[in-house]
Amino acid sequence: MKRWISLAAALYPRSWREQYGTEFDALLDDVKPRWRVFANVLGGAITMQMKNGTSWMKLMAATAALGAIVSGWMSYRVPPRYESSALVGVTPQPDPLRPASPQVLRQRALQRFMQSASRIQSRQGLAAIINDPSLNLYPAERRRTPLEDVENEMRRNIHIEARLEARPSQNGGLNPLVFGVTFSYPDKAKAQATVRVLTGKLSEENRMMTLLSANSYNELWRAVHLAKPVPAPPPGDVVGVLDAPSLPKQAPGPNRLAFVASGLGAGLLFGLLAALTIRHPRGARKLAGFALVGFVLAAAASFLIPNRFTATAVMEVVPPVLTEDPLAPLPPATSAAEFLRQIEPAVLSPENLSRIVEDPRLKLHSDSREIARDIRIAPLSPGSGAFSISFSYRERKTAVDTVNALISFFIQESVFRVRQNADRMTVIQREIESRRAAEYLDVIDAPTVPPIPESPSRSLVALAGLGAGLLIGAFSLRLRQPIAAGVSATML
Amino acid sequence: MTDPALLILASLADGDKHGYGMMLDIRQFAGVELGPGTLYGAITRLVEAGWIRPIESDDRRRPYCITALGRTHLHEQMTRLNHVAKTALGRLKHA
Repeated sequence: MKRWISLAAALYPRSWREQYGTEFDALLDDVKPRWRVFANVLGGAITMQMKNGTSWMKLMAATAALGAIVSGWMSYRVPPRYESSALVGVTPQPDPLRPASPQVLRQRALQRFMQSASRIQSRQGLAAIINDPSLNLYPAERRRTPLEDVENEMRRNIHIEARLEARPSQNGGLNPLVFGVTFSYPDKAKAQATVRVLTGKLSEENRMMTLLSANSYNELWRAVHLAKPVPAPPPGDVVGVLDAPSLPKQAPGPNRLAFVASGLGAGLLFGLLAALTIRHPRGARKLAGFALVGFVLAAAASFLIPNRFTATAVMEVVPPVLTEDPLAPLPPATSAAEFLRQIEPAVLSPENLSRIVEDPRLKLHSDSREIARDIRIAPLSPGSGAFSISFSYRERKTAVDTVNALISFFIQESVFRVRQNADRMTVIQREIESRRAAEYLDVIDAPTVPPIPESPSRSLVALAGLGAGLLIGAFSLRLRQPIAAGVSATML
Repeated sequence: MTDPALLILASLADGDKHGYGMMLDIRQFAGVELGPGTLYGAITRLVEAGWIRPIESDDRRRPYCITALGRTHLHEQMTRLNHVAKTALGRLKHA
């Protein structure tokens, strides 16, 4: 602290320091070094600079430099975050009974893997990892915030993505698709343990999907062909860890450049305000008054704006496991974007929107056009088989119920598509309706609404009020008394 | 009374003092804790006005004394303050 006070004392004008510097330093040696003393000395230095005829620009440059130094120092105090990463290889298995091009096999493997990743990153999947006592992740956050917020935080810290680098084939067959799995966390051992859990779950999820798909195929074959021997179902992919989760030695520090830049900006603003306050104390007081009134009024007004809650659900497109000829190759997988392009116009048809509006249980007070405007449907990521459905409304329950209605429309449409495909499959007939002859939809995350409304953002409205107050204040000052260039020193 | 300049003049009225001495004295008689920046801002203005002046010293802690002009100013201010105080107290008594 003593160093900071000395630094502030050095900011006094040179001519002043020549006259008073020695005795002032002696006084600083006598007083107890505290933050209050630092602030007082810094304030004195700025005041003295202004009264010494120092230009606004010089003052602002000094405060900006100080801001940059302080923020640069703070950037070293930010707790580090360690990032552990692993490489997972997914090798599509060729099917001798139903030969398909390597491109189709790779595309299906990619989508199946992304499907597993979406399931692991679903609310239920993340809750299982967060509540794992052996990991004990986010203990402070779990005490402070609802589990849903902690899940969102964890989702932001996980990255599962396809890597471009090609790995040599191990068995002379198809090259594995390579995926990077990373997790960042303040504790390096926990970061590594979590990546280990994630890779394990990815492998397990793949095994389960292969098993379920084979069971479904076998059951269907027996139902249709009765006594005929069941041919081997399409094989699943082989998921294996290529590079084990790393134990990060060094944490990548925060973006120090951003820290310094923000300190620089804050210092500039502070310098400008200080210059204004010292040169025009009455005007500055008036400006502060206007800003305060604007802030209070806007904060009060924000409570009059109706709340809006956003309910969000996540669904996934599960690819078909069967074709008309059980020995024919499976068609290429459909991405969520492609699936939505085909199905969304039917789901959001004017008839369906009218059904939502007229449903007395939903209690919606909007017309079809307004509802269509507040519905958001989008793939979770490019190439992913999962997509989200959101709806914003002023009542939480209505928002959730409307998303549920949309989910049922999606499922109706997908069943309709299965039936269309099944009708073409004359052999399998009605059996196929409940089976997987076309893409079917699964709900990964049921719709929920966070307890805090998405809008209005009260702090943002209050800040806007503060800005408006400042503007009105500045305008009124300009009208009443043009800001004088000079300043009279306040003498007693 | 919290005006730093008047507090400094009042402190120097009973003898010469250096900066830290003034701080301790003011805290004792007025219960006001002046920060180093505030104290030296006021000292600078008082020296410029000619109401106090530094005393030559070999010590790093340079003492100050009040000038005749400073005494007159302090007297005027205190008389005015005394008048205001008496008036206010009298009105409170009759209210």
